[in-house]
Amino acid sequence: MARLIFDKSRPGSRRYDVADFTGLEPESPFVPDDIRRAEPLPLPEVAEVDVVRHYVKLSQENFGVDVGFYPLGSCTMKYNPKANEEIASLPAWAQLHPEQPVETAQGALALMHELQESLAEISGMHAVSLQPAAGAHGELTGMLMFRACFNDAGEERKVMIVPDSSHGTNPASAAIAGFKVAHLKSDERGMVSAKALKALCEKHGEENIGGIMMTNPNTLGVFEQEVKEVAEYLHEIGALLYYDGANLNASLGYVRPGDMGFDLVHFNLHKTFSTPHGGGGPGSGPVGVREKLMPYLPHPLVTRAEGGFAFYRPEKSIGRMKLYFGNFLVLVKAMVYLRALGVEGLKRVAENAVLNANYIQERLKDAYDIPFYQRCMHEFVLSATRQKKLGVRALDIAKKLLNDGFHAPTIYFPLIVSEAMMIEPTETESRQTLDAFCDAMLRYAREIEEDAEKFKELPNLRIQHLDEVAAARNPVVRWAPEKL
Amino acid sequence: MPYIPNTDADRSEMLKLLGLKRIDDIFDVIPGHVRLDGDLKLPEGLPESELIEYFDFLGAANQIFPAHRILAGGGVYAHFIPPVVKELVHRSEMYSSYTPYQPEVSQGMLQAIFEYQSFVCMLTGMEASNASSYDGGTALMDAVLMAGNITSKPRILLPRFLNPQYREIVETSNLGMQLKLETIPADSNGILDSVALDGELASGEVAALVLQVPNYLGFYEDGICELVDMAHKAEALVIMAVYPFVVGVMRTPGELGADIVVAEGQPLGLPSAYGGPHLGCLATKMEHIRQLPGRIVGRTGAAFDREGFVMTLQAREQHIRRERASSNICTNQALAALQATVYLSIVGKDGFHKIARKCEENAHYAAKQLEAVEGLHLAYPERAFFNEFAVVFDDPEKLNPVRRMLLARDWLPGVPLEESFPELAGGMLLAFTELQNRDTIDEFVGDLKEALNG
Amino acid sequence: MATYWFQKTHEYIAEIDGEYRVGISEFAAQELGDITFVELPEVGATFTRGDSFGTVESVKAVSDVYAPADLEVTAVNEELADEPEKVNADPQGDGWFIKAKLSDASQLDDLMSKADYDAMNKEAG
Repeated sequence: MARLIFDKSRPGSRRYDVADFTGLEPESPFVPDDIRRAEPLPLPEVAEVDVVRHYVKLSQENFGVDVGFYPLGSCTMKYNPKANEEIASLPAWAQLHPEQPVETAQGALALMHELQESLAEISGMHAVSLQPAAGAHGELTGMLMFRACFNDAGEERKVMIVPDSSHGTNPASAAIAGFKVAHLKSDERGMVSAKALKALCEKHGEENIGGIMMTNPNTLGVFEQEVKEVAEYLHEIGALLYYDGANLNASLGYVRPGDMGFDLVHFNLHKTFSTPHGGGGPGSGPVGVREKLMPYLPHPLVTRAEGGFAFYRPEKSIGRMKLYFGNFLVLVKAMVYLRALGVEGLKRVAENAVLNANYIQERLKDAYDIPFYQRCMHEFVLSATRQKKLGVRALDIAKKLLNDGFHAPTIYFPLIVSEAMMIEPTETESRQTLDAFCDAMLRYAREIEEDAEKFKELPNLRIQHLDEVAAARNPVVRWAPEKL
Repeated sequence: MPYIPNTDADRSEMLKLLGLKRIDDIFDVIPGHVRLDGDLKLPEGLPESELIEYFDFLGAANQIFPAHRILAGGGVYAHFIPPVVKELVHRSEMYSSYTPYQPEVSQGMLQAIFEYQSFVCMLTGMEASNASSYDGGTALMDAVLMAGNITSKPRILLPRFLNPQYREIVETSNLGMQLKLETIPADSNGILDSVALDGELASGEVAALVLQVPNYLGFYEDGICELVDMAHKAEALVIMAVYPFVVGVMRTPGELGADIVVAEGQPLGLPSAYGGPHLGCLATKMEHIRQLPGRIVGRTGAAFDREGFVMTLQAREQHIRRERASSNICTNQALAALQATVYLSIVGKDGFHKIARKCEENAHYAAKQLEAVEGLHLAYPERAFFNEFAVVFDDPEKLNPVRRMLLARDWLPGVPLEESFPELAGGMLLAFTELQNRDTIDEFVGDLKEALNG
Repeated sequence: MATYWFQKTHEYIAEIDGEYRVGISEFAAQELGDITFVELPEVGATFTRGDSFGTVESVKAVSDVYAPADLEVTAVNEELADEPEKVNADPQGDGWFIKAKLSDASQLDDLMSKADYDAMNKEAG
């Protein structure tokens, strides 16, 4: 029985002192009668030492990059440098109040300005907003900017094209921004073909096409060969191109979305720029745009002004996506990382990320099927179809990896590969680590052929076979005191 | 190169396996006509020693106010954060993990999020919470979208004194949703216009009435329970946006009749951090759980020695439902949720109650002192408030010089109000937390008097 | 006596004692795995053939359910709200989704018989 913090509560065991009261004699209670609380809220009462032990124990039941190899495809689980954490936690950044007058926050504005400019340079864009809180939030920001741009031109353009290999956030973001999603089938290379795209656009009417949301390299880890043709065609018919920056780690310093013809890009600072994922967030999803979309950026943006920096609002700004200026401390961490690496370091990141992925692919290619086998970028997708025929599925292999101290790759994504296992090692792993992983995967392939049932035994994995079906049928999503 | 462990020897052996000579060759698959010509125009990398120096230099251009001298709120509050909170949140097993899609090795974060959801339900009086939204403003956007989906009705009613940034976030996202956003005006006493509200509700098209408690100007709307009744009679939902600590002294929003509750979780142990990362709390009743956006953790039994936690009801979410998902949210604010969870565990029942009481007592003591100051008045003296209230200078021209003098004495004065509320020219919003005492408030009032007369 | 018709998207429609019931086939229920939730329309709603009238969820998937003919919903299977597992246990019996009135029963002629449907699945499998 998992013991929750609430189970550890003992009345009277935790006293929390605040400074003395002001001694004001309330003439009447401060809260109107009809909404006043009668008793203190029944939060748990746990001594500090027991709270510490509780959460330290929970952390020990969690796997992070600092625990071991984390080749989770599409997620760029690279090492999070501790300098980022240290600097971002300094009072100069952490204690800054967002309602301070800008003249008292010039360091923050300078940092944001430098990050805006750096991201624009890295992506080949003209301006960057740091406001979106996550990749999907950046996508929504981008889609709303497309929408605003079309509204301005008096165009309807209701259709957003999304390749069938895309992240689920792409169609979801497009839909919230009021677009109808048209799925484009990948060709036999796993790529977007300009010909298929044209056919799809013609089917929906070229004048109705708002644009395309692409990832490049795409979710198969493959560099889109026809990206330039795709961009030229879409621009010709008045549509726009959105670049999902989830896979930007592969191309730092070698190729830029702006040069490929994209109009808008979002960055995942919590992937490419080494800010931690935090068990699911906070992330940061800045968006960069070419000139055409600059007037629509969300405000506030940072600009140079007399004697320092100031905020401004672009003339046709879509408005505001989030409170204040984005996930600011995440921005600080990303800026620290960028400064640590510098121009050469960024190139080394891309080189080693791509080299590491290709190395694993090469070592595993005979033991597993690789449906779109070719030179990959920072990740690749293998398929456990051969193993499935013997009764072992991608999920079983993933669990075996967990059992053996590795984090598992992303499984069952992208949707166009059956029994998919998407492997992204990142540049912060050594060849020794990659070899250990490859050795395990090769051993599994042999073991599955010898005895598939025996393979599925997981002696080291303490938690397994959680009943997700029961959890979904009868959701228990909170602990509540019995009295309620 | 920092953070890259492969040696030159490693690289050349790896390249050999791939049949390549030079590292550049690995990018052969990128068509030449899109490749970057030359290098990015960025500076050289810095060793860590210089890195820290550089950011110290930048940071020195920020003025950091002592926490008890921060009287600006407006949604972000300077509460005390016990050191143990920071210590626990810096466990890198937690912060260096991804979303817990693989529950076998993520029980720590999953359980923490389950506890977070439980805390949010206790605070809001709701039955189901998501694992977090980005912040209070985007959580309100989520709630508005939910209300539209649940009721299939097009109108959303926003109160006059809603946090202006919340309003703007909802308006911006609505560019694609096409709900009709209407504002309920208020009279000179700050009371919402019930005739206007009645008129809107009578249309039968209202999906939800939004109430902020306390509202942006710090006071409780007059007759909250009646407003909730009016909305429910018209079959509209009630969305409440709350300041978490108000629940220390007020009944939960659920007890007041709310259907969806949102909150900015920053006051729960998160630093002001120039506006982020903060924490969007979003909760609702069980009957609406399938419309609740974002990740949700559920508790389950395991086949072996213990029960466990999994992400549940995932079929609502974008990675499965794609364009028909209840939301596009993927990455959320999990670590901030953990931080709030640890914070609430640390302050506990005793601390939460004391902090809430101290906030309101400090604010009321300050209001009483300020009322006696010549040259300014409380904007809405008749309204009951929590820890924040608006004062207006009789001469609006005085506001800026007074603020400058206060800044010079290391006070961060309250948020100026005129831009969002033109009727409050010369007004500012003052916030108090548990960090002030009688002496600091007396000192502030003294400094303000001097600034006003000087 | 019951007669069943099937469509390609794996819904069936059955005539049982003069009443039409719609649900998903045994084959579909098995393919989907453990069903965790069924979203059903309101009584009185009308759908044209091919419209999605609801969804069925398993832990990691969600599928639309399509109307096999033009229909008006006369009843929904309320028990599925608490016991979606009924769809797995007896999809073509107790696990029905809706009861319906058809505006044009001749549309049933365009659907597959059980034998044809089984043959289709066998071929695809």
